[in-house]
Amino acid sequence: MPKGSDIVLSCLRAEGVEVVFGYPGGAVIPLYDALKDSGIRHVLSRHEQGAVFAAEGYSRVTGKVGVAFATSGPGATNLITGIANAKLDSVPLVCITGQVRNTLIGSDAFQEVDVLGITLSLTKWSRLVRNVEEIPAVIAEGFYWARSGRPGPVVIDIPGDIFRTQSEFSGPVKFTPKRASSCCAKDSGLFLRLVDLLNNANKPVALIGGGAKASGAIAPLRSLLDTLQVPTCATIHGLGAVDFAKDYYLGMVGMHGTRQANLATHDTDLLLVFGARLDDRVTGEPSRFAPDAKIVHFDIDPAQLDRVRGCELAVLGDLANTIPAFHLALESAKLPEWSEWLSLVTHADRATPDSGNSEPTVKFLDELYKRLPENSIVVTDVGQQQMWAAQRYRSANPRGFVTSGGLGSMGFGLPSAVGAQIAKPDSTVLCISGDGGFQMNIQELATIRRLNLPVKLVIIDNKYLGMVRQWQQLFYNRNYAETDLSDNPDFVEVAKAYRIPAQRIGLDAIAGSSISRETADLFTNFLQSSEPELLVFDCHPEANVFPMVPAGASLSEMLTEDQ
Amino acid sequence: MKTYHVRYRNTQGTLIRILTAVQRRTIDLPFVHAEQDGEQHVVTLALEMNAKQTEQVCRDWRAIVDVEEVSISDGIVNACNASDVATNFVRRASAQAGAKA
Ligand SMILES: Cc1ncc(C[n+]2csc(CCOP(=O)(O)OP(=O)(O)O)c2C)c(N)n1
Repeated sequence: MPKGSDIVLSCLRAEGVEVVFGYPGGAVIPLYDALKDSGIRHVLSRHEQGAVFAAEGYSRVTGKVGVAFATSGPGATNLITGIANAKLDSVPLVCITGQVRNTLIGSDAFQEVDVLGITLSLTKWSRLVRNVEEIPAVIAEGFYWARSGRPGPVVIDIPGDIFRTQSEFSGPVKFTPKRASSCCAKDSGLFLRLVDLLNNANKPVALIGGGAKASGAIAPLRSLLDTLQVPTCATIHGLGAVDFAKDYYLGMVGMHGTRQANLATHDTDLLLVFGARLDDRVTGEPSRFAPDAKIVHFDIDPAQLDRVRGCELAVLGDLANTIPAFHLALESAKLPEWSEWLSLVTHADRATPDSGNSEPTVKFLDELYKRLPENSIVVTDVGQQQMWAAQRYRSANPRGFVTSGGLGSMGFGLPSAVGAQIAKPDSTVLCISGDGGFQMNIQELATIRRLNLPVKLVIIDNKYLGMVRQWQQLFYNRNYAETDLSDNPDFVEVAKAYRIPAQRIGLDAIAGSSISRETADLFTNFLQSSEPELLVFDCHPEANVFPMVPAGASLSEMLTEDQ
Repeated sequence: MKTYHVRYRNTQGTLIRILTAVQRRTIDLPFVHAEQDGEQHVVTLALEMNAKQTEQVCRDWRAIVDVEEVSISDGIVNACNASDVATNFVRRASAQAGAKA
């Protein structure tokens, strides 16, 4: 008769799981014991946060559910940041944690924590399994909720003795929800009202968020935008959803968005939002966001509608259904011409001033980006380098830009690049980190080395916690309190200790109007190598990211470099 | 003050998720009562919320996987019933405490 652990793994297989990321410990030894015959590949991280971020990286580039294993107590608590990250960025994730054995629950046993309690506000759904018979139903339901609607994290906590208990097992089961998912997209009157709003709009703008990718609606979205021909911008998670070459595409919107995107979003009278939560990094001061606009919000999650600003019309449902339905409704409509509005918002005087692009790090990233093969994946950490990487991103690969947007969690880059590379072994994975964030999960260099993952690691080394230092410079009178990292370790030597080839280049390598042949070769070889490799770029310590919308300001009140 | 009724499947954590949607907005919870109602459970909450908070909290409740229905009724009548329930509960609890002693 199979044991609980065999049943767990069979059910994971039935859900299509091929890889799990994790870290063993007492409560999950039986689960690890059963792995060898399961057909599931386990990737050993060097910290549970590394495991959960790797599972997210895997999920973000494939759209599949990411799976992480951890033991009870500290193993489970080390997953928390990753679970929060998955919640805010709508990443389907299933975490399986070991728990102390059933009879010890509630006794403050060794390595006992109330995992369910701790994660309640972060998870979409969670269960503490109380007997071996319920495992198939719990796993089926957990995967269902992780994937369905707005995807998100699920925790399944399993006491150690349940893994060891033998039980009859008649195979994995399917879960059917009792509650039908809510969707009002079938209401054709809704789209007629929307067409009406468009007909009366003089300055429409479309804003694309990560929901468009999560729902797999990229093709219908692109086709809709081609029909509409309205100025379009994207949140950081919307990057790659729209082809950068389109005349109507203005780039990223928000705190470090392009001037054109921010000004158009500020000036619009009708904002069509597709799958974006509209957090304050996107809106600037929420009460002054798109002040003259009526908002039409397409989203699958009812909890997002009206959260920030009341919307004129809410189109609740899967974008893969609602966008084509909207497009269909447009067929018989005669829409106004918005070409004048489009040429106004794309006019050069609204572009980010050239000086905003003179930052050497921008040039460094541009040189790397232009050598990246198509369908490469760019993974970032959090901070200035994340914003530069996002501002310069030009690919139309919808799952090609991986970043911690909602939680903004430093330490995300390196481990999620591990997951991305495992999911896409033939793609180039470029991981861009700051010198601060790189050190938050630096231990995952060991994972990269052991698996010989050819991740291309870049550290933008400004010897500061750069983004915080930028705020201190601009708003705290240059009081660089506790952001100095000038005594960083030598990252090249650190990488070499992990047997990962590494080199450092300075500002001089990219000075001048074009880079030297030698530097060009260095970049090409770096990106083409079949080995993991680290490139440290010594950036100017006080380089800043512009444009910048200061906290509390509206999107029209951007600081630019020349100010 | 209005009375909110949230009907839910009494699965692990669902009641706490319902309460957390209120508490994370630092809205006071002067009265909460949960009980079984047929195959489901209903939690009744008396809350002072403005229109925006009401919309947000109700949406958050509806987004909880095991929540089946959310309804709002006029506060006064229900709050009175609610305080009856609350007093009974306190009496019962103290009677038990007395019995033990
Ligand atoms: C886990 C975590 N701790 C703290 C922060 C706050 N924070 C945001 S950006 C930043 C600086 C990041 O510095 P670095 O990694 O060197 O990147 P840079 O900004 O210099 O590119 C900090 C401390 C955070 N986002 N995440």
